[in-house]
Amino acid sequence: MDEDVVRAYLWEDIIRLGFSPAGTKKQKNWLFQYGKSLREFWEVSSFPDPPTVSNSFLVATIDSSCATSMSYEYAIENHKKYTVRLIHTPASTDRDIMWMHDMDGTYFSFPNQFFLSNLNHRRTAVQEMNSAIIGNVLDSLIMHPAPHQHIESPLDNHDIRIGGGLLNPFLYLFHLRIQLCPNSDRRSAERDRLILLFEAAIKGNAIIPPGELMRVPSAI
Amino acid sequence: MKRNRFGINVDEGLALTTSEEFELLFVDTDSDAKKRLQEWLKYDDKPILFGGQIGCGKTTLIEYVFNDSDTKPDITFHFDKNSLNLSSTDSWAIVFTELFRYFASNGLTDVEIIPAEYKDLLGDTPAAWHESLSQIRLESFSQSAIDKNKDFNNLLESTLGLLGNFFTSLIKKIETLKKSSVVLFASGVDKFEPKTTAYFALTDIFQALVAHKTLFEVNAVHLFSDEQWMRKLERIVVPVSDIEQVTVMLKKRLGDYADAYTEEISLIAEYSGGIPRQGLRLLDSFLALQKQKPNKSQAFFQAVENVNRDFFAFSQRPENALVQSVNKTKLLETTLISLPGDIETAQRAVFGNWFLLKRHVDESRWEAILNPLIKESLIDDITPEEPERALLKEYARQTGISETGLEFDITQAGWQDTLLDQLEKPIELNVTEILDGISSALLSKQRADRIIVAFENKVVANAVRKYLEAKSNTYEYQVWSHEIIEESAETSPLVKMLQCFSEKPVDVHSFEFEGQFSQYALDELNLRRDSFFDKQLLWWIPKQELRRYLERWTQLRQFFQIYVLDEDLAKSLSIEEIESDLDFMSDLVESDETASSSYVENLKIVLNYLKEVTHG
Repeated sequence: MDEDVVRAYLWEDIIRLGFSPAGTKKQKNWLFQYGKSLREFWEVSSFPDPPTVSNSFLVATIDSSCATSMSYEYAIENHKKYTVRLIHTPASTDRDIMWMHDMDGTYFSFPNQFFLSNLNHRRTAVQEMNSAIIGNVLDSLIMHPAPHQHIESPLDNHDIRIGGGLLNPFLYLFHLRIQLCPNSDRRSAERDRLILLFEAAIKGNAIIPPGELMRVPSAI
Repeated sequence: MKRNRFGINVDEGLALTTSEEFELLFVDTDSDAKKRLQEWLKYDDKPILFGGQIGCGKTTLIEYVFNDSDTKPDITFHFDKNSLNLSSTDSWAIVFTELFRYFASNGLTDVEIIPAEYKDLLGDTPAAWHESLSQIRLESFSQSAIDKNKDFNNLLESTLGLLGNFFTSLIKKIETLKKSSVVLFASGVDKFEPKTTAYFALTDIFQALVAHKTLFEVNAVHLFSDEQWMRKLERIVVPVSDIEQVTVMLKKRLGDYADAYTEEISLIAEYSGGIPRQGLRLLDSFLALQKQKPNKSQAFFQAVENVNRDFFAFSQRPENALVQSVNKTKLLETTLISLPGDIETAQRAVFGNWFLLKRHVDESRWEAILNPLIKESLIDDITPEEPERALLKEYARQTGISETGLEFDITQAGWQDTLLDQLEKPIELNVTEILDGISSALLSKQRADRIIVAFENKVVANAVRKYLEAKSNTYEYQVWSHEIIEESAETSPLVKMLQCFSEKPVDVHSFEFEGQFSQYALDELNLRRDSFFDKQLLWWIPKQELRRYLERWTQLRQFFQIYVLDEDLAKSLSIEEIESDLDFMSDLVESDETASSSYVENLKIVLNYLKEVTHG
C-alpha cells in the first residue's frame, strides 16, 4: 500500500483516538487533564486556572507558559467550532491579542473520513504501519504542522510552529502544549512517547484516556 | 524536594542539600568563606563560627562543603528544630539525644561511661535506643513518648550542673574509639538573637561545645558579639552576594525560561540586596503576580510590596538616625552591635536584615547598605543615582514606557508612601487577590508554602478558608485539617502544632490562633521556624494581634507570606462565577475523597454563604 495512504488512515486514527472526546462530560475531563498536565510538562511554577462553562462554551485561559510572554484563551463549542486567542503580554502595557485561530465548522472542509471509509483499507494500513510512519504523521499533526506560522516579533523563536490547518480543537490545544515547551529534549522525548502510545492505541483501536495522553515523558 | 530539570525552581529559598540540587541550582562563587570552611573541615581541630545574615545562603554553603568533601558531621545538633521549649534542660536534651543516637548507630550502647539510669531508660539494644530516642524527641506523639520525654528531661535536670562534664567525657570516649576527633555541627544558632533569654539558655552548651571541633552556624550579629564562649574562636563571615551572583542564581532558578525575563532578573537581583532568599521571594511573588497583573512592571512593583510586607510589616524598626547614617556613609561600625542596650539600633538592624553587610573595610567597619526593599520608605531623600532606582528607570526605558507610566511614579513620593504603608499597616486584600498571590503555593502538593491571614470576622474567615480549600483541590487532592490553637498551661502552641503534624497524614494544616499568645509562646514559634519548613501551613490570626505577633517573628516571617483579609467577600466573589465553576467541576466528581469532590463540596459552602449574605 502506498505509504501516503497508510499515513492518511493513521492521521484520522490519531485524531479519533486521542483528540475526539465524545459528550460534554468527556470533553470537560479531557480539558481538565490538559490543564493539569501543563505545569509538569512545561516545568513552570503554577497550574493554569481550570476551565469553566460560559454560554455553552468550554473556556479557559492558559497563562502558565512564560517562555514566550504569551498566554492563550480557548473557547470550544464543539469539535467543529472553536477559537483560540494567542495573547502577548509585554512588560509595559495591558495584554495584546496577537491573533485568534478561529475554526468555523459551518464552512466546508475536505471530508477525509468519508473517503477513507469508502476506500475501506484501514486494516491493511494498520498492518503496514510502523514507528517511523506514525512519527511522520505526528510531526505533521503536532510537532511540525505542514502549514504553520512562526512568531517573528516581539519574540523571534523559530522553534515555535503554530499550526494553521488544525481543525480539531483538542488537537490544536495539544499541539500548543508541545510548541510552547521551551526545552527541545522534552519535546523530543514527548514525540517518542506519543509514537509508542498511538502505535498501541491504533493496533487495539482503543481510545486513549486523557490522563494517559497527558502523561509527562519520563526520559526528561 | 523534587526539582524541575529544565524549568522553573522556586521554593522559598530552602537550603540545597543533595548533589542533584547543587548541580542544578548552586552558584559556586569560590568565596573565601567556602575555601576556609573546606580547609577547616580537612585540617583543623578547633571550633569555628560560621555566620551571615538571614537568607544569605549559610546553610546551603555548609551543606555544599560537606557534600563536596563527601563527608558529614559526626553529630549535628539542630537547636532551631529539635527542641520543644526554650529551657536549658530541653536544649541539653537535644545534645544528649543526638549523642546517644551516635552511640546507638555505632553499636556502642554497652559502653560503661553511660550511667545505668540512662541505659535503663533507653533499652537493651541499639534498635531500642533509636526507638526510645525518637520517642524522647517526640517525633511522634503518644502518651508513652511524652512519659519518656519527661523521664529523660528529669534525668538531665537532676544533674544539670554536671552535664557539661558528662558531655565532654562522652565525646572523649567517642574520639578514643574512633581514633580521631569528632566533627560537631551546632546548626540553627543563627535563629537566636543575642541578649535574649532563649539564647542565654544555650550558653552552657556552647561552652561545652567549644572544647571540640564544632562548626557553629550563627547570624552575623553573633560574629560581632563579644561573648565569653566565643572570644577565642575563628570567625568566618558569609557576606551578602554580589548582584551578579544573585543574577546567575535567578537565571538558574528560571532554567530555560530565563531569557524571557532578562530585564526583570536584573531588577530583582538589585532589589535582593545580595540576599539570595530575598531574591527568590521576589521572583516567586513576581511569577505568581504576573499571571494576574495586566503588565509585568505592575507585577514587579506588587511583588516588591508583598515581600516588603512579609519581611518587615510591623517589625521593630532601628533608630532613624542610624538608618540615615548608614545610607549616607555606606558604612556600619560593627562594635555598635555589642554595645549594651543597643538592641534598638545596630543589632536589630543587622539581625532583621534592615542593613546588609557587604564587605569588611577595616578593623570593625563594614561596608553596609540599607535593604533595597525598605529603603524607599525609610529615606526621605533618595538620589536618582541609587542603583535600584537607576535600574528602574532603565527598565522603564527598555520596556518602552515612560517613568511616569509605571504603576508607581518613582520620581515622586507615591511609591515611597505605598511601601511605608506596608510597613505601618499592611493593606487589606480580598480573597481573590490573596489567591493570586499564593496561586503557586496552596494549589500544589509539591510546594510547602506557609501563609498567614489576619482576619476580623470569624464567619467570613471560615468562608474564605473553604474557598481556599476548594481552590487548593482544583487539580490535586489535598487533605486539609483545621485546628484551633490556644496557649494553655499544659501545651504550648508549638507543641500543639507539632502534635497535629504527627497525628495523621495531612497536606494543608490550617491553624486558627485563638486568644492572646504570650511572648514566650511567640518566641518559641519564631525560634523553631524550621519545624515548619516542609509543611503547607495556613495560619489564621486575629487582626488585632497581628502587630504584636509579627514584631516577635523576625525569623519565622522569612518563611511566611502575610495577608490582611478584606472581609467584604461579595466584592471579590460573585455568585455567577462560583456557579460556573461548580457547573464545570460537578461533572468530574466520580467518588468521595477526590480533588473534584472536595472542590465541589467546599465551593458549595462558599456559594451558600454568599447567597445568605446577598439575599439575607
